Amino acid sequence: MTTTLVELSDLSMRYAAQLALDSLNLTIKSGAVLGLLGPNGAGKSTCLRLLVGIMRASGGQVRVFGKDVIANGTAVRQHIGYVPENPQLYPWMTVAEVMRFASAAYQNWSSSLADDLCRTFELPKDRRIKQLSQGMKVKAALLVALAHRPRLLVLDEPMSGLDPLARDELMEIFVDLKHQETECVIFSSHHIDDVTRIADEIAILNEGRLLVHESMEAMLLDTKRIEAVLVDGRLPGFDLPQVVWQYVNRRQWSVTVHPFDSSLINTLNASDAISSTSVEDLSLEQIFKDWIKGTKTQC
Amino acid sequence: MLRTLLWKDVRLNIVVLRLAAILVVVSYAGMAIQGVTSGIEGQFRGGLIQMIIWGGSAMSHTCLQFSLATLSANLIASERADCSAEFLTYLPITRKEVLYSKGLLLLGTCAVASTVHFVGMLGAAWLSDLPLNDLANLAIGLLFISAAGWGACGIGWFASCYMNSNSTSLLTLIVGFPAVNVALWTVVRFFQLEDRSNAIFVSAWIGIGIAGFIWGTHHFVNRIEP
Repeated sequence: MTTTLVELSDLSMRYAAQLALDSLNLTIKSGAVLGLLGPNGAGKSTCLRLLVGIMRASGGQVRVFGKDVIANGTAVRQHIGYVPENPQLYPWMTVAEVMRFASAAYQNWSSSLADDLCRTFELPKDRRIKQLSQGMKVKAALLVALAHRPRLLVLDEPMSGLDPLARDELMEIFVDLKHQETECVIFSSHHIDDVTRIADEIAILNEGRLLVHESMEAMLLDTKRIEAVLVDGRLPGFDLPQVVWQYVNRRQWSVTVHPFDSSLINTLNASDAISSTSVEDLSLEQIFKDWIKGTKTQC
Repeated sequence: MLRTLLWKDVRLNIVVLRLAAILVVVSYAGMAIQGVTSGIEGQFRGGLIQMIIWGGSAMSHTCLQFSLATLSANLIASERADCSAEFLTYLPITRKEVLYSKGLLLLGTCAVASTVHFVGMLGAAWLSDLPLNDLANLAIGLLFISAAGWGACGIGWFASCYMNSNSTSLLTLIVGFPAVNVALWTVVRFFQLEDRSNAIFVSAWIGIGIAGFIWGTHHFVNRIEP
């Protein structure tokens, strides 16, 4: 049975004059692996930090496991594993000291699991954090995030700043995570390929607003690009519903729609303004770009 | 958890704590050298040892105030400076627990060192041939130094709670404490209160210390970001 694990209601966050999140509503159920996509400054990190309860929102509410994350911060965080964009563990601690420090904070900390993860990640226990490479630091942070068997795992751009080899290695680990006991994984990334490999749900954020939240399957299946040839360069005299993005170049009209409905093609073909139409499938990268370009066009 | 947090805070502030320990050693050693070279230990019935304990404790207690103020300025801001404060906030630890640990380190260091100094100084003074009047002056001197230290700690703590870098909070302390003293001295001179200057300075420092700790703590607990 799926239950709601995370519920963001009218969530807003303002930094001085800048609105980082604008009335965000998002519900994530157990079993989901959600990929949070968005360009730089879209509000992804702010959203995840509010979700974990690191910061207090300017407005709205975050409920995790049915509890308000601010009022029940400690209790909720007992079951959350979090890896920030640049993990800042104490640089002077050794890996073993970080493990000992974190074990005191988590009631469900499993020393055997921590040791296993340490071996799997090939982390040298006696090495200080400041002596580790960026990839190793991410692994150390991931160890802390996983060793207490969290119900919810939140990863904020975990691949950021890693070389391709380290990225591949971490990607394998994340793919394995899907099959472990964590009920829900939420992660943000710039890399669409990474998201495609791991996520089964997608949420796209831009300028603090949630543009779309759907399953990966529905997103790929229901988002189509219609390429239409216009008779004389003028658009038909009716508005298309569900337009994500559109572009007209002389007689060529490209329009991305979501959700796609085959009856749209019949409507377009029946129009005197259009001489022919074709429908294209889109990759997740194209879909993401069209959603972002679409909001910019509207602005 | 408190024990682990305390261990972390001790390690995080180890440079300041080591500096404090060095100042203690230097104070007693300096007094020993002075006693040997100047021969003033003759005023003490217990001789050189008694003189070292008394003078060394008084000097060490003065130095302690600098160490405590530096520690209070370093306690919170240093974790923001290396961004490790965020690590602490996403662990299931309350800000109150974080505060208890830091407060315990500050108060613990103060309590242990002050007790040693006070017992040393009073014991040595009691056994000396000093008249009662001198003992009273000694007590007033200790109160004066302690009050100034408390005020400096309050400024350091306040700065540490607000600043994102321990360098900035230390700078605030270094600039703020003399500035407060100059302001106080100006008030004393302007209103011609020289005969009550000690009482004014002590009360002002105690007030500033209390305000600094309360204001800083309130800000730390309610701060939006780590």
